[in-house]
Amino acid sequence: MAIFSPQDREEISKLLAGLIEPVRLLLFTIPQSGLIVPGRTVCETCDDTQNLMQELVELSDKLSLEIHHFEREPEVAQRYGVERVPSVLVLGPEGGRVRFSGAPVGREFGSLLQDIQLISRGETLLEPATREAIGAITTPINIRVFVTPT
Amino acid sequence: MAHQMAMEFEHVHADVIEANEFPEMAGYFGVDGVPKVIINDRLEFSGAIPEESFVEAIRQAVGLIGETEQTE
Repeated sequence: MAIFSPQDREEISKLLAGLIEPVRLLLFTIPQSGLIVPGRTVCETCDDTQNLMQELVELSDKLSLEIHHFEREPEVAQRYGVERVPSVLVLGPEGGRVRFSGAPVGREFGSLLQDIQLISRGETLLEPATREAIGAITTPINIRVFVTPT
Repeated sequence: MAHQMAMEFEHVHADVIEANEFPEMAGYFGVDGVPKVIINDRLEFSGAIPEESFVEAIRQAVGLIGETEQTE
């Protein structure tokens, strides 16, 4: 069953029409078989997240989706610092990246769309002073933002 | 804001974590409200703050300014 309604598809397509550079989305997931197997990770939102991402990338030819199995491709997960599923990474052409842990739904879906647009246009809305201050820091900065979907 | 910093700078990583899906992690970091921001697992603040304050928090988290200057 489709996640997006025809109206959703139309609105999202409009937002994505302004994309300039290609944007890669990476999904790390553990597909669910429906069987409960002791020891196997249960990921309640993995399959929904995969469906959502697949529907999303259909709406723009600038978007692509790579799906990685979190348990079977540990080296890829490690390369991108992914520790949980589902995780969605938005990758720009210049190494920019943002990671979503958990299904990006509700308000976070809006954030995801905005991130895609900004990364594709290669622009952010940061103040020049912010850019200068962050650019002057040489150590890694790891920012965790906890959210809920409402 | 965190997203945009991460997009622009390779040394900035932003991880948006759905607190309900990862309760252990949210519990570990004492998340009692959202949005909650944690920088370098050292400094935290809740809610949306002005961009300038966000930058100050980052500078503090990486040790560029003293903890006594922290505003909460």
